[in-house]
This record gives sequence, structure tokens and C-alpha cells, in this order.
Amino acid sequence: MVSNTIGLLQLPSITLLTPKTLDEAVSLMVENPDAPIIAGGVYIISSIIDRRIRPSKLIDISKLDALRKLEKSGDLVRAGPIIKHWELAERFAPVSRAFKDFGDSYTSPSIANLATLGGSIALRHSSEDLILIMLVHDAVLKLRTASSVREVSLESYLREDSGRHIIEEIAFLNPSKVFSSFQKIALGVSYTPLVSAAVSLGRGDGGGLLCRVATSHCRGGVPGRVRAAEEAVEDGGLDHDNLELVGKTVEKEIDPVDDLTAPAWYRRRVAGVLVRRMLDQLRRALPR
Amino acid sequence: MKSISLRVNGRLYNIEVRDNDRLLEVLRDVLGFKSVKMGCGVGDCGLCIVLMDGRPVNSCLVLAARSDGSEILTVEGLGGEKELHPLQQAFIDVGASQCGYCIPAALLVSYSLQVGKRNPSSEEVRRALRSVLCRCGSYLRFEEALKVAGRDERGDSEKV
Repeated sequence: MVSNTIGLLQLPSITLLTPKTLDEAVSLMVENPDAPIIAGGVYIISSIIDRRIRPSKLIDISKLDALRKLEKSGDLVRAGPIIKHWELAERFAPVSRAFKDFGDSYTSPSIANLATLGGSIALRHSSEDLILIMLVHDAVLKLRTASSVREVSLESYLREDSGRHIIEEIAFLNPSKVFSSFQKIALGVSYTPLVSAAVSLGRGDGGGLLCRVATSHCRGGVPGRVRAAEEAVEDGGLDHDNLELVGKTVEKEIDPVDDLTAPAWYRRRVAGVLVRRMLDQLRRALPR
Repeated sequence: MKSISLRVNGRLYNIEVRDNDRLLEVLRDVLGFKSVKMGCGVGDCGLCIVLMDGRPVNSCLVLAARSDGSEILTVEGLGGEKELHPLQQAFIDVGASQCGYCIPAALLVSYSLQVGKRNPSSEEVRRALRSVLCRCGSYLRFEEALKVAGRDERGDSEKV
């Protein structure tokens, strides 16, 4: 047993519930409505230490092999929620600019070795770079509740209250088949993102442009897609003048939070610049 | 209480832990590996980094019960007074240790980088060392130490 040498910074008493199956995890979730679900633990443990949350129980899903998959399935990749950030960066960086940018600009590589895909998504927060990358890869979540299993787009998930659930799977477009990019402006020391954005480009069956645009602070501190900017690209193309318009559209459409780290106007302007710049770079890589 | 097995620096330990014990506390206070330092306690500073199954992790964010079956490396397992690891020697040679508090974490991050890639670029070194907050600002010397250790390992004659 550990002596109390670290004093106040020691975690308060907690009961760790360790289900052996997904069904058991769901049962525990129902029986313990206030118990957070813990996978990587980065957010939950730091929140307990910071006294932002005071749970008496945690439901640990980190040992559930059913949630650990990372496999290609046609044009999609199906990932379990407990896949770690480093696994995604390492697997897809060689074939995807967005995933390479994600790994290269990661706040702290030692955190990437703990943090999970599902944990990031469940946070629904602007600090989670992966949410943007998943948004521009058309991610769809499979949610398990006490009474059902349902699929919901990540875009909808970020807008709705999904009730008590476990994310069972994240399906997204195979990064090797999408032209995508991710960039962020971050605080120098901590790499805490002030503004970040992701874009993807592709061609539809008829040869028309398909575009996705996502920013970290679409609504307050919640990431989301910028549909008007996507439509501006798909309708107007990728020439210089239109990309200027797309950047302005992003500025106009998003409604970022105004806080101590950056004012809202700054976030709007930078988001527009990042989107315009990434689209300009991707334009050259896109097959005609 | 839960029974867990940890292999630390090559030696197997079977210990009892509480659900709220973190790996940091178990390594320092139960097993006596004092190189594992307590810093911010919330995963920001990286001073508590150990290698868990070969990868750097912030041990303040890992519940000990969840580390059951893991293989842990601390600086004590890297090298000691009688036989320093080449990286430890390089840290001394270039004067990378200032206050010393972050050095165990910086050594382990550097070691894991060196194991994964023999000649990491400056960019890769700097990216990896983002995990460690060095208040003395010794990052350039960490980078230099990695280069020196790499040269020594390859037997290059070039001097710094």
C-alpha cells in the first residue's frame, strides 16, 4: 500500500469496476449512472486530481479486446474506441497528410501513448485534434446504450445529447483514399490549440469536387463542420479567388468562444486562413 | 486491494495496490524507484515519465491497477553509478543536467527515441522532448547529448 507522501495530490478513494465483456460494461454503466467510463485515463485522472470531478467509481473499458480493433473494410476503416492516438498516427501518417500533421503537431507524445480515439470523441471539445480529422473523414459512430445499438454521424454526435452510452466503433473513410490536411495554431510551450482546422478533398462519381471543412471552435468550444464553406468549394472550385471567398465564409459561419487564450475574432480569422491555405496546398495534389 | 504483477527494470514484482494508487506512487513509494519524479500530477510536465511496454507514458495518469502485466523501465534500469548508459554519459559530457529534476524523464524519452530510430533528426528529437518540461531550458543540450551518444555508438571519430 502506498504511503501518503504525495499528500493532497493523491487520488481520493475510488472503486475501479473492470468489466470482462462489452455487455457487462453496459450493465455496469446502467447500474452506476454517475460512474465515468475510463479508457486512456488522460482526461478522467487529471480531472479528478484537479477536483473538477469527484467520482466514487470508474468503469474501466481498457481491457476489452472487442473495442481494440483497427481494420480496413472496403473504403472504410473501422476502429475501436480504445485505439490509442499513437497507433492512429503511426498507422496512417505514411498515407495521409492529415494524420501526419496530427502526429507532428501533437502536444506531448507521451500523452499520445495513453489517450484514445473514443476518449477524444466523447470529450466533444476543441482541444481534441482527432475530432476534426474524423469529421473530414465522414466518421460514423456506433453507440451502445442499455436498450439499443445505433449509428450516428460524428457531426450529429457533436450536436446532440446522446444519453448514457459507450462508443463501440468509429468508422471513417480510409485515409489512404482521401486528400486531407490538418493544421493548428497552438500556445508555444504547451501546444494547447488556440485554433485548428482540417479539410479534405475528393472527386465524386461524376467527377465533381467533394469537400469537407471542420474547425475546432465551430460553436463555442465545440468542433464541427462548416457546411457553407464546403458548398462554396464544391460549387465554385479551387481557384484563388474562390478560396479567398471560402476563407471568408469560414470566418463568417463559425462562432468561436472568446476566452483567455484567444479572442473570438482572432479564432475566426485564423480558421479562415488555415482552411484557405490547406485547400490551396491540397489543390495541387488532387487528380484532375 | 488488487494484486498486480509488474516487471520493473527486468525484475518481477507482485504487489497489492488500491484502486486509487497511481503508477507514479507505486514506483516511487512502494518499490523505491526515486528517479520517477512528481511534478504537476496532471500529465502536463512529463517529469513522471517512465517507459511502459517500451513507450513513454506519464505515470501520474496511470492507475496502478490498470498497469497489471506491464513492463516498466525507469532510469535505474538504464544504467547506474558503476556503469552508465551511453546516453547518461553523454548528458554529463555536454552538461545537459542543470537542476536535474527532469533528467530521468528526458533520458527515458531520449532512450526510447534512440531505440526506435538510430539517427533521429533534430525535428524528431525536439518533437519527442515536447513531453518533458525542462525549467532550466536544457533542450538544446538534450539534443546534443543524443547526437553525441549516437556518434559514440556508431564509433564515429568526430568530436563535438
